[in-house]
Amino acid sequence: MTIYKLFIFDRHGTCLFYRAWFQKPQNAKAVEQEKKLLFGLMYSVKDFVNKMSPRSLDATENAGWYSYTTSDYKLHYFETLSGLRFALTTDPNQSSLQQTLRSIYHLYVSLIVKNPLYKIGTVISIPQFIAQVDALCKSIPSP
Amino acid sequence: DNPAFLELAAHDMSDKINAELLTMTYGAMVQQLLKDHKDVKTVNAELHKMGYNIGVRLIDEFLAKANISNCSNFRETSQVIAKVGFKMFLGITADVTKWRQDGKQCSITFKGNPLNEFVEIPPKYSKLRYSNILCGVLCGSLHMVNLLVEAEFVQDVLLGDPDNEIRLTLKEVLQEEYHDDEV
Repeated sequence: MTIYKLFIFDRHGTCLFYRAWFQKPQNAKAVEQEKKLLFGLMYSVKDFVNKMSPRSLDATENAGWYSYTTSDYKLHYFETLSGLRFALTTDPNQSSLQQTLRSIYHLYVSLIVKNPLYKIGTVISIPQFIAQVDALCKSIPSP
Repeated sequence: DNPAFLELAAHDMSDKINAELLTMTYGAMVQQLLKDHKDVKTVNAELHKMGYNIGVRLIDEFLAKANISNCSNFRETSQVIAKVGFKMFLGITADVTKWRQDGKQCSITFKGNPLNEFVEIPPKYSKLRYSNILCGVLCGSLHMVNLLVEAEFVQDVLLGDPDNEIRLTLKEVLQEEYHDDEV
């Protein structure tokens, strides 16, 4: 099972968490650029899929999108009602990882949100969270 | 989504703590605030602010556990707060009543309030909104789902009213915005 990267963004577009298990060599600037592009993409796709919907959606409703696939990788996407956005890239043959992203959200709640020392909206550097996310991603069954 | 089912599920999934411990700690905190600020209005505001900061975090726990989908309007949102939210975090259920014509104001009423146990308010603090922290929680958590609301205690059992009543007013539905800092 190949997992490439995980990104967590908050509602303002700050990248709270970034973890790359496997990637081509990149310098820090390229990574920053990538985060920005990704958030822009998430935002635009959301807008776009809502506009393309055959139903007319009211203001609070979202069509939602789950993933996109290229020949090299698949990006799994999960957004919470509170505006947190999770993106996980994997091997292109991977089946849906919505449940995994949800589990990461649960980890975020129990280890980050409930941690009084963590200031909301700052970059996550809590070792326990990193370890558990690692363990969770390693346990993803192969496609 | 069947609210009764959600309610049950929500209640089962939350960690339980001793209610008396919470009640006592909260009481001690309000008392300390009164000592520090001397002014009841400031204490109300302070409790509201604390609640807001709790709400900002609480919303994610709520969403992660309750696993609910989008509410299509404010009516639905208030129903979820009263039936699922109150059950999950306070162990009580509340009712949504007194809708204003335009659907932007309602009251959340509830009989028991775990924060109120063992509490008596001396007459000189009749303006104290003892459980104002709940109003703050509502404002903070709803702000995170893009609803700007005002919440206010209009009835409090502690002050001799028959019910606890929080009036919830929807001010604005915020639009999601994203500004690219590179132009």
